[in-house]
Amino acid sequence: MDSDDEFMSGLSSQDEDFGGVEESDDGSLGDEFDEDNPDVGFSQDKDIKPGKKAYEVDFKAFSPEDIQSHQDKQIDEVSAILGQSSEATAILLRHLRWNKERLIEAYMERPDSVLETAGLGPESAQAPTTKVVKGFTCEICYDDIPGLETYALKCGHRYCVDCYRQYLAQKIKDEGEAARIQCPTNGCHRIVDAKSLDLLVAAELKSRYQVLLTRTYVDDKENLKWCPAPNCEYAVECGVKKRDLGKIVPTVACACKHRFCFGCTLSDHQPAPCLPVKQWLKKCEDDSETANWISANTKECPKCSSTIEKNGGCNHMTCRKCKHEFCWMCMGLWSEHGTSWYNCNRFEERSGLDGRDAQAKSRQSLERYLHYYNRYANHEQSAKLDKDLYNKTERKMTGLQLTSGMSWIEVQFLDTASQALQTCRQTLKWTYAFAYYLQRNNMTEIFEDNQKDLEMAVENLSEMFEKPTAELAALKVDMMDKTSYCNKRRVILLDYTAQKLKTGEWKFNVDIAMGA
Amino acid sequence: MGAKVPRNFRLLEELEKGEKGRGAEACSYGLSDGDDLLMSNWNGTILGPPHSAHENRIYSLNIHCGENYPDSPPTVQFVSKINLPCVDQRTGKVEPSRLPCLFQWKRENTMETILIELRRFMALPQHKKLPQPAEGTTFT
Amino acid sequence: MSALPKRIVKETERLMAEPVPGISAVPHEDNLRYFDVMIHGPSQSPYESGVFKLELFLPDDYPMTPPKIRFLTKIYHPNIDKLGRICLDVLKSNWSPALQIRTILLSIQALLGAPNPDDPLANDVAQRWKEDEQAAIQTAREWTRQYAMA
Repeated sequence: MDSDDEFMSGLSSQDEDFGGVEESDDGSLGDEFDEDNPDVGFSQDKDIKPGKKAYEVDFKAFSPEDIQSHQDKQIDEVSAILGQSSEATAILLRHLRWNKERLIEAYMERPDSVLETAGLGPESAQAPTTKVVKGFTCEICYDDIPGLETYALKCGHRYCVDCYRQYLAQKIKDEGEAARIQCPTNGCHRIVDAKSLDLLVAAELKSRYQVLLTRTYVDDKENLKWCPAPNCEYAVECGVKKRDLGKIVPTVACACKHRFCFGCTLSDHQPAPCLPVKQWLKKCEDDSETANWISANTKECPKCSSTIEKNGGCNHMTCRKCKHEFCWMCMGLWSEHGTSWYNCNRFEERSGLDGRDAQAKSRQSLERYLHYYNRYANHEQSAKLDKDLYNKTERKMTGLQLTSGMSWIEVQFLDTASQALQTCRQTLKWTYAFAYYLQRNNMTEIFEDNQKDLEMAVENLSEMFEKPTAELAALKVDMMDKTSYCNKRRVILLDYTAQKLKTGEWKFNVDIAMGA
Repeated sequence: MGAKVPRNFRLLEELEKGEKGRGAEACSYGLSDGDDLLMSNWNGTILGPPHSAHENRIYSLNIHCGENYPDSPPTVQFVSKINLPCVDQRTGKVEPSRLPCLFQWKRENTMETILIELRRFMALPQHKKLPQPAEGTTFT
Repeated sequence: MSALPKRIVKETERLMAEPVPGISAVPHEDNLRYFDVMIHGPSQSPYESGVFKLELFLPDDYPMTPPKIRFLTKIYHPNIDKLGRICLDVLKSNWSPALQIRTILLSIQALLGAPNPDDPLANDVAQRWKEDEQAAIQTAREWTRQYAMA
C-alpha cells in the first residue's frame, strides 16, 4: 500500500526504480528503515530518502483556521512578554507588520512612544461599554435626544452608537479596512480595537472584519502568500525572499494541489526565473500574432527593408516602395538572374548572399523568438490536449476495470501518467522561454540535451494514451515505465538547471535579479 | 429617496467611469474638450454589433449635455454615416422621438445608457441587415 | 425629497449664522445638499484678491463619506486639475465624519496658500512648479487676474 501511495504521488517518487509499484514493499521499507535509524551509516545511496533537490524549496500550506490560530498564538506569546492585553498586542503587532522581534525590542526601549504611534494611549484594562451621557450632542449627526447611547475609545472622543456603527460599516464594507481603522475624530490616530468593534457592529460585519484581519496578516508577512487558485482560501508559507528570485525558482504546491511560484504567484514556471517569465509573457502578448503572420507570409525588401507579402507564383519581386527588383528565393538582384524566372538556382551568388545577410540580420531576432515561441506554444497547446485526454482518462479507467477485471487501485497508473504528462509539459514549455533568454555556452548544450530527452520521453508517453482502451491493460508495465522515466528526466533537467542558477553560472541576455 | 446629484457632479461621475474603462466594452465616451469646465460636449464611440451590417465598424458620435442634464436628455448626433431609422439622414442627429431611452428619458439614464441602446437598436432583426453607407464616410 | 438630516440642517444654519471670513457657502433653494461656494484667495499667495467660485455637494452617505467639491473658476494650481477637481487628503482617505463643510473649505483655502507640487493632480502644472517656481507663480497670478477678478 505504502509504495502504491508513493507511486501515485508521482512527483515525489522520481527516484524509484522502474516498475517500483510491482515490488510493492521495496522502496518504502528502505525509507522506513533509514528514518527509524537516522544515525546508521551503512544505508545505500539509492535507498536513502532523496535529499532535497536543487529546485525544491520548503513550504507548507495553511488553512484559514491555521492562519487564525497562528495569529492568536503569536498574539498570546507577545502579550505575555509585553504585559499588554491581547487586543492591544494585536494592534501593536499589526502596526509593526507582525515583526515580533522589532516590536519587543522597540517596546522594551520606549513603551510609551510605541503605544502612542500604534494608536494606543496609556492603557486601562476595563472592558468597553456604551454609555448614556447627560446633555450629550453627537458631533457627527448632531442628535441630542436624551438617553442616546454613546461610545468613545480610550481617547475619549465620544459619538452616538449609531454614527459609530455607520462609520465602522463604511470602513469595513466599502473601504475594506480592518487593522488600521482609526477613531472618527479628525487627526486622532487611536485605532479601533477588536473588542470595541465586537461591541458595536452587527454579526455579519464581524465576520467580514475577521476575514480582512486575516488577510492583512498574510499580506503583511513576507513568507506567506495566498494561493492564487480561484476560490482557494489557503495560504502557503515559504522562506524564499524576493532578493533570491534570480537564484531560485520557488515552486510551491497548495493543499488544493495548485502548483504556483511563490515569487510571482503565477503557475509553476520552473526552470525559468520570475523576471524572464514576466518579460516573456509580455513579449508574447505584444508580438505573437503579428510576428507569426509576418514570418509565415512575408519577407523584407533587401534594399529598403519594408515588408513584402508574396501573393503570386513568380519569384521576380518589385518592392512597391523603393522599386528594387529582386528574387524571392535567393533575395539577390533580379538583373543578375537571366531568364530562370521560376527556378532560382543561384543561391551562392554574391548579391544574393548580401541580400540574405541583411535580411538575416533584421530577421534574426524575430526568427529566434519564433523558434522558441513556437515550441513554447506547442507544449502549452499539447498540455491542453493532454488535459482533454486526462478528462477522458477517468472513462478509460472505468472501461479498463470492466474489460480487464482490474481493481480501481490497479488502474490508477493512468491517472498517474496523465498527471506526469501535465507537469512535464509545463516544465518543457518554460524551458523554451528560459532558453530564449540564455546566452550560449557549453552548459546550454547540456541543457538542450536534457530538454530533448524530456521531450522525447513526454511524446512517447503521450502517444500511448491514444491506444484503444482494450490494449491498455497489456501496456500497464510499459506505461508505468514511461511515466517514471518522464518524471526522472524532468528531475534531472530541473536539478541541473537549478544548481547552475544557484551558483550563478547561467548567463542571461536580460537582467534576472528582482528589483535590480 | 436619496440626494439629487447636480448636473456637474453627475457628469464628473460619468467621466470617471468612462476614464476607468469600467463601462460596457463595446461603447466608450469622453469629454471632447478636457479644458471645458462646463463639460458640455462629449465624444462617443460604438463598436458595431456582430452578425449585422455594422460588424467591425466603429461609429463616432457627438453628445451635447445642456444645462438641464440629466433632468433633460442630451442631444446625440452621429458623426459617422449610418443608416438607421432613428438617425436623420441629412444631419446624423438621433431623433429623440424614435429612441425609447431618449423619448422616455429618466434622470438615472446616462450617456452610456444611450450608447448601449443605440447599439442594441442597430442589432434589432429589422435593422441589422439595412444597407449601410461606405465605411469611413461622415455626415457633414 | 426626503427630510434633510439634522447634521446638514445644523451645519447650514451655522454657516449662515457664523460665516467664516473669506468664505461663503449658500445652499441652492431647490437642492439643499448643493452649495454655491466662494473662497477668497489668501493674502501673500498668487491667488490674493481673487474670488474663486466652487460648487459643493453632500452625497447620500454624508458625513460618512466626504462632500464632493470642485472649482468653477479656472485656477492655475498643482493640486487642482483643468476640470477644477481638487487633490486634498481630507477629501479622500483622510476624511473623518467629524470634519465639516466649514473645515473642508478652510483646508481648501489653506491649499491655495500652500501648493504641494509633490502630490500633484495637474501634472503639467506641478512639473512647472518644480522646475521654475517663479514662472509658475507668475502664471497663477495672471490667471487669478484674468479669471477670478470681477
